[in-house]
Amino acid sequence: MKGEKMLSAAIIIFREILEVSLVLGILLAATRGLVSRTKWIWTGLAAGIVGSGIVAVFTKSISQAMEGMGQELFNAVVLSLAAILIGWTVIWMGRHGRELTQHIKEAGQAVIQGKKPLYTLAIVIALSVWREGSEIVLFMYGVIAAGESITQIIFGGALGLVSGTAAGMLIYYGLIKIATKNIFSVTSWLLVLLAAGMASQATGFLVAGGFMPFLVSAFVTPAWDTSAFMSEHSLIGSILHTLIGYTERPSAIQLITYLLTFGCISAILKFYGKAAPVMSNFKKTTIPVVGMIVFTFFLSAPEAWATKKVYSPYVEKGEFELEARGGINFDGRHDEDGTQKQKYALGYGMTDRWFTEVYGEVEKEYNDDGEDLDFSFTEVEWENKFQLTDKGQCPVDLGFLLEYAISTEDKHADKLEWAVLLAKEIGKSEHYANFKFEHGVGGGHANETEGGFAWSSRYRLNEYFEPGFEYHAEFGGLNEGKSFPEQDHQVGPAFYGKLGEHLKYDVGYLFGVSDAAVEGTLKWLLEFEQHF
Amino acid sequence: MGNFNSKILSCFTIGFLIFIPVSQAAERDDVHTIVISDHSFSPQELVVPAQQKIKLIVENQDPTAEEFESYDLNREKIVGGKSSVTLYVGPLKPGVYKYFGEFHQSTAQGTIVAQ
Repeated sequence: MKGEKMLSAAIIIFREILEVSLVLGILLAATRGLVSRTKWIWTGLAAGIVGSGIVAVFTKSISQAMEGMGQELFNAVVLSLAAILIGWTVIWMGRHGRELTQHIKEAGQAVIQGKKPLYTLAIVIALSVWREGSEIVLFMYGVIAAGESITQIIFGGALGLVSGTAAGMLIYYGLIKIATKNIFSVTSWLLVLLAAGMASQATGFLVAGGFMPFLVSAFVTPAWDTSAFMSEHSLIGSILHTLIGYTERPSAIQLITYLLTFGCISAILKFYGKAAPVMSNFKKTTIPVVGMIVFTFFLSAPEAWATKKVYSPYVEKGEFELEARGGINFDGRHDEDGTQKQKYALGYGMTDRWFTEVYGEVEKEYNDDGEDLDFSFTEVEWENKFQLTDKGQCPVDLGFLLEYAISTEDKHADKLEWAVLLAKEIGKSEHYANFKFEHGVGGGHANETEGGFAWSSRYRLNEYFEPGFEYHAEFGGLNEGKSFPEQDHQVGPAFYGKLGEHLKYDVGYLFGVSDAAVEGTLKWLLEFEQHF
Repeated sequence: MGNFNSKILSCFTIGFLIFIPVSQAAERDDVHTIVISDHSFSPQELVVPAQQKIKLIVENQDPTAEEFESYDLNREKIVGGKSSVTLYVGPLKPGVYKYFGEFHQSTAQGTIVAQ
């Protein structure tokens, strides 16, 4: 597979970073409003990174020592410590939670009351960052030692770092939504589950390292196997692995540890805490949580073709955006049927007039034999959108798009793309038109400008459901003079709206109306937005 | 017709001056101001003429930013602390249009009544 090394580096680092972000996110959400927590959290992060740096320096000798059972013991110790510390923090917060939330508005007391257990936050974060950081360092060492393409790995790693952080932030903001009313109750549950998961993971490592020879084999063999149902290594599986300690093949001793840890912390909470944790605001939380799960599902779906998006000319300053979109083609022609293209992006509104976004593109198409569908990482793009007029100011709203795409495949040139974006609001309906241009850059490409056009109309029925239709056309080279049947023309219904306060969707089905176009394309888009 | 043509011409001239947030002082537009203070809007109910384009100035007197957002009016825009933004709405059919401040939803609520 092309771009494979970049993609696998991206995925591995994405998972490591996501695990750290999840732990960090839960702790941040649980301690919202506690004064001086920020410096402890940064201390923890810094200590963890320094620790990973030390591992980097001693990598060669460590990885030789780890050949023995060193690694298992290291992981077990780190995880147990983290579980104990989380448990202590949860219990402390359970006892003082009520007082703290009442006193937060009174500056002085919060500082004194907040200081004591907060250093435990620093330790938990330091340990998590250290563990994940060390794994990343050791992975990179292995890769460099094997002589793999370094630039590809570094590039993929950076992509994984950025997307892992972004995904972690997404989950953090979802947690914030859950936690606003009862900060300590809902996040307490999550922390207890996290601690139980870590403890049972620690047990697993101890068993694997041969540190529990006294255990009868019945305790050590897997109690069940759910890997067919949900693999630990799929994206959802690894998220659940970190959040609640999901394992596909837990042994009896692991289950016992999990239940014991969960039971102990909850019991202590009940006896010494103020009140039992309660799940509140169920409805308000389900939509963003479901939205996030759907989002990650699309991330883990097999790579899929041309992404059809009709742009609006509007920009919002300070808006941070995470976008995933794609299309699946259906056609009688064997080499088109089932092909997919997907794009994943991070964007930010820099000013009132300028929005910038970075995309990664993945394609699923038939390999050179025409036999199997193969997925490959095809492009990285930098896209800029400029809003030229204020919405409603002029008879038509105007914007401009400018982007540069770097191809990761040898046979394709880089591309410069630009588009004129128009929009018009008429009563409760909205209409968009995009005039698109594309020009290849670099050798090995017939460098002529290609043109395209896209249209979208929708009726603003309500925030969550806006029905409409879209039309997409690709004319080919502007000097080429293709006839209508040779061009790509597609038309079809589309639906837009929100899935929650921060999540937007766009789905549709486009029917090909010219000979050259594919018979059908199922298009989808999910967007997460947050203001900074 | 002459008025319409010159309006289009001046709109697009402005449009092509990239990055310059010049707001066009259209002679026929009605100008109204909404003030944000203590995370609330005032006036909480703004009455404007219907079937007419309205120029709305949102003045934020608070030190922190607010986002003026309305699904009914189909507008959302960030107003920085101690600054103003201009929004164009309308022509509006007669009715009540709700809006809110996204960052302080418990106190920042208001309506625009077109009649």
